[in-house]
Amino acid sequence: MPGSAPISWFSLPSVDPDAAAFISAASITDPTQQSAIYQLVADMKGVGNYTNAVWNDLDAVYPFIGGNATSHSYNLVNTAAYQISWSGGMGHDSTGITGNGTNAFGNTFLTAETVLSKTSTFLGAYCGTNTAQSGYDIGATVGSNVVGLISRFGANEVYYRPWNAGANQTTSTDSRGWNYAMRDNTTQVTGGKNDTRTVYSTAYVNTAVNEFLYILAMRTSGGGVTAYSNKNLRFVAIGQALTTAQMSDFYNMIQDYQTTLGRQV
Amino acid sequence: MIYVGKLTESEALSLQGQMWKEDEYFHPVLNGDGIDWYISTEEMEGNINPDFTWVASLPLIPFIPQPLDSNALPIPD
Repeated sequence: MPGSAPISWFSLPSVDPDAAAFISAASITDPTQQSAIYQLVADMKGVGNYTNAVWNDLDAVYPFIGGNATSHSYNLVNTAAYQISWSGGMGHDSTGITGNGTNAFGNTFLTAETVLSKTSTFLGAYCGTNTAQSGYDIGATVGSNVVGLISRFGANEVYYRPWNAGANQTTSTDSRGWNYAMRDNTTQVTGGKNDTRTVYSTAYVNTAVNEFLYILAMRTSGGGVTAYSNKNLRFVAIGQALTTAQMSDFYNMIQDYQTTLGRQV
Repeated sequence: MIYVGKLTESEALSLQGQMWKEDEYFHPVLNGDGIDWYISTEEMEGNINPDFTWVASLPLIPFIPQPLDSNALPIPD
């Protein structure tokens, strides 16, 4: 075209197919939200602002981009797997998802026993509200075994429960931020908040947890539900154990993502 | 005090597996008294399923939490 600069094919920005698939599935049209997803995926794959990739270690990532039940249901790392089914009065808005503490939960259809390993599990939830309440951020249980996380329970405890009957509980008066539980061996659990971590000595329990992981509640044996949460969550990740360097970078990636969306805590 | 919408057992059964909004399912739950069933006020007020407009006028009752599953509370380390 006269007067136009020639377009070089090589100068076009690359479009990550996984990010594009998520944006399409979740019907995301807001440019800021699209940009946040592209950057997050690049960061998670180690080709963005961080070197320690986490993409291949995670089975389900729910960015809760800010929208409705449909856009909040898709798994970023594979839009065809572990799509959340929402039940009860879950709130969906620009801040993510908010439970009601009475009957709302999300079913990930991700079975802890078959997808995760008792020696390699990561559970993380970015909480946007400061609430002390007896609801699980993520949870499933069979027998005495629990795969779960609570960012702040009723008496200011944080529960780190990746395959353990105990909770490795620590004290917190603020549930806000990136809370996570990680198990990479049979005897220890790493519990963390933002970029700070503590290793606890707690043996795993070998009971099979053949139940789906629920979000903002706990799935019990035979399909029951307990411990509904009223917290606000802005990001959830479920997958395999991460290294310390990965956990550090992953926190920063998520914080950057929340900052882009104007909802970091 | 949290209030929820009171359901009969047959009403609760009729809502199971039904959507109140796109990609959001009703979730009737037995109240902690073991007698009444309920759905949340979010479902009552947000329902757009024309087959269940009656949920908007459900009587409100106090929410009584069911006891937590024993596994929700950890065994002390």
